[in-house]
Amino acid sequence: MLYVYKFGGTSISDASRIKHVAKIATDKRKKIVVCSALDGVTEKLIHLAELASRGRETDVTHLIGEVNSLHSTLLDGAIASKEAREEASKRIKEVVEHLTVISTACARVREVTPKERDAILSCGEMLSSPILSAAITERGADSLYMTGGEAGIVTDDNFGDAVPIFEMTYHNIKRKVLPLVESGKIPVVAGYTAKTQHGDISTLGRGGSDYTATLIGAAVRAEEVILWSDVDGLMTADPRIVNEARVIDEVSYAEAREMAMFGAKSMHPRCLDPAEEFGIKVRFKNTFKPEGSGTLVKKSAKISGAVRAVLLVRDASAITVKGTSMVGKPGSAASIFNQVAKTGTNIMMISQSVSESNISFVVRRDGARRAARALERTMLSSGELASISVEDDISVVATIGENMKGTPGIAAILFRALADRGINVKMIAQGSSEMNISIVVDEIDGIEAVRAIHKAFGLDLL
Amino acid sequence: MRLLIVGFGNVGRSLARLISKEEEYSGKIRVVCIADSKTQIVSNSGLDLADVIRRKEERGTVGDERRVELKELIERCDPDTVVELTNTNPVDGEPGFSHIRDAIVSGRDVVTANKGPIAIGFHALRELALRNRVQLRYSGTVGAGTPILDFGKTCSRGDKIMSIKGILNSTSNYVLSLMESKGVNMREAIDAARKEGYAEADVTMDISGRDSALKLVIIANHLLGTRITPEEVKTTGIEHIELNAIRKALKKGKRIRLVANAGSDYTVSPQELDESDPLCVSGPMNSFCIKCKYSGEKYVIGKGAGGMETAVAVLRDILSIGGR
Repeated sequence: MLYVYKFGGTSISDASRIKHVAKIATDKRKKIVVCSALDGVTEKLIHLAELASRGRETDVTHLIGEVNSLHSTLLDGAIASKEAREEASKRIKEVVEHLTVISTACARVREVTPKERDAILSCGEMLSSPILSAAITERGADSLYMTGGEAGIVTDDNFGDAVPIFEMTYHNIKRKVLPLVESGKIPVVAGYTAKTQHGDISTLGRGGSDYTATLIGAAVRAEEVILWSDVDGLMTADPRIVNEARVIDEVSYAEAREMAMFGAKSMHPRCLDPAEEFGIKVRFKNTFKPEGSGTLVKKSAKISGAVRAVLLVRDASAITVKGTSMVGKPGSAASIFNQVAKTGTNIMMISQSVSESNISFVVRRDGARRAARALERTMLSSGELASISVEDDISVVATIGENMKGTPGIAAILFRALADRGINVKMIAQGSSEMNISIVVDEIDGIEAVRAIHKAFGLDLL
Repeated sequence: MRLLIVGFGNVGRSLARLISKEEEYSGKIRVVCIADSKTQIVSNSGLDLADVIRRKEERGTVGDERRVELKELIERCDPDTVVELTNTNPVDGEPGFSHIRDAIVSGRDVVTANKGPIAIGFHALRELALRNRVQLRYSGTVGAGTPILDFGKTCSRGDKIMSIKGILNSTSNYVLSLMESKGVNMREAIDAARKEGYAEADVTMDISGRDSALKLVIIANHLLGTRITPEEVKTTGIEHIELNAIRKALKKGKRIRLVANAGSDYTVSPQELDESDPLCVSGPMNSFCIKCKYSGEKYVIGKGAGGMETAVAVLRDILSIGGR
């Protein structure tokens, strides 16, 4: 039986934490370890790319120095023996040199292409992983560090959010990584990183380290993929909002995906796909409470109750478009969403009544102005739309559960609970999968709405 | 069409003969590069195939220049299709696997008769081809000139294939048939097969059942949509079949054949077949039985070995890409 352990950035952010993680990683199980970048480093690298694109070479050099000393200090603090440190130290030096060459070149031409940006962003994981590998080695295990590309993760050329070439990735991992584990080694793979089929460095998108872990898990048919982070698991609600929120023991892949989409845990949206395809179990666990069982995602999970979680999306905006010329005209919704899509804005929720005279949709707040402006420029000026309004002070409340499907009365309980607290519902959406009822409320009502629904479905009592 | 042929053994040379002999093809197909394991020869206007065959047979190599990487060759002669005909490696599929991968990544269609890479990396190579929007065809890997894969695909439309059974290795079938008809032991039968050109110097792959297992993997993955690998096929060869057992079976009206089976499980093993069973062929032949859920059993029988027979399958794939 084989396991994949993936450690998040906060789990390895200082010397004592690295030692703690190395201890977890050297339990008796055969395993492959996947490592994220240190907490905050990816943000630094994003900033670095930004500075380079503006040609600020001095700032670039300064920031690289900062990143370098952060890792070197951590290495010195976490690893006592000189031999164990040496290999990691060499790797860090190589990555820093590589980072310096690319970013200064970019700074000189004041341009960072998506390909160069990936080369810069991938450095976070390539700097942290050798340190963890050294810490595992120091505990007497035989560990070896490799990049995602070296492990065999191959993607297309869609830099920044590359899509794995799945079967080839599985084929490679089976041939490159599996024999290492079987011979007793603990490979430490830099998460998030991959390479294209032409050999360039690519990255798997935000939250990509989870994706690395599930891809490896699928390739080696792991018994379980454990995603270690600083939260106890998937919860019935955000514990900062609802005191009574508790960890859910088991969820289905579909439920976990819904929860991830609504920010229960920042996770790559496609990261559960490889696990689900091969029926690989995924467990969310807290690095700092390893004794807890966390949340297990699996096929035919034990699901108690129709509603499993209530989540709040705060930084949302609702855009409402009106126009009588939309009525009975096929394709009007398509052209509206097409315009929004062109701005790179993702639509989270859509609602339209049968009268067809208006359509409301919800987007992340940072994209709302851009989307509205695009619609104004095109469809408002051409007369296809009569008005466009943006509401910034709203929140989305999502009520999630796989067994809501076919259970009558869920909506009645939900809306009764809101009505009892005097909360006005501005917009409603439920897909026919019936896994999720999303409602829009005024921002000031958001927290209260979550608490009301959480209580109404007895999620605090289970 | 511009072809790059890598691997110039029996099948490669047969293909070159076939193309140069028939005017219908030689007008359409231009072979711009031929590479063997040590050298290559390139001509952007098309090689004189008869001349290259003569050089290979006289000197053992096609060219004078030391072999370079396939990727570089592709850049140099810009083929639209790469024909991979190197020897089957049952362990890791190399060098065929890398050749096919590099050709696909370079955006070229690929035709191969090499079982190793297709059996070992079936889904990996197919997905890679799909993502790069190129064709990957491999009908020559199974049944030589007998188009079992295409036939099976046609059977599966509108119906469901439940199981596939067949004699997939003609060398072992020839050896068993000879023991049966001439009353010779296995060693003698193998020697005779070599003389007739139905066995290579090394018959381990054929006699051990591994060649059949590779073919079974390709057939099952192609027709049943499975994800099996060669290691998952329970394989027993014919190396321990005694003349006595063959005689005993004959008396019962049965014949011992090396049968590959894909259905509820995946096996290659010697089995006693009824003489009247359509599957029970003799000599260097292959036979296949495709059992469908609604339309019953269908049989295909054909010659299952030979450079020219396999070359025909390769040419068929090339032409179907060209006619796309």
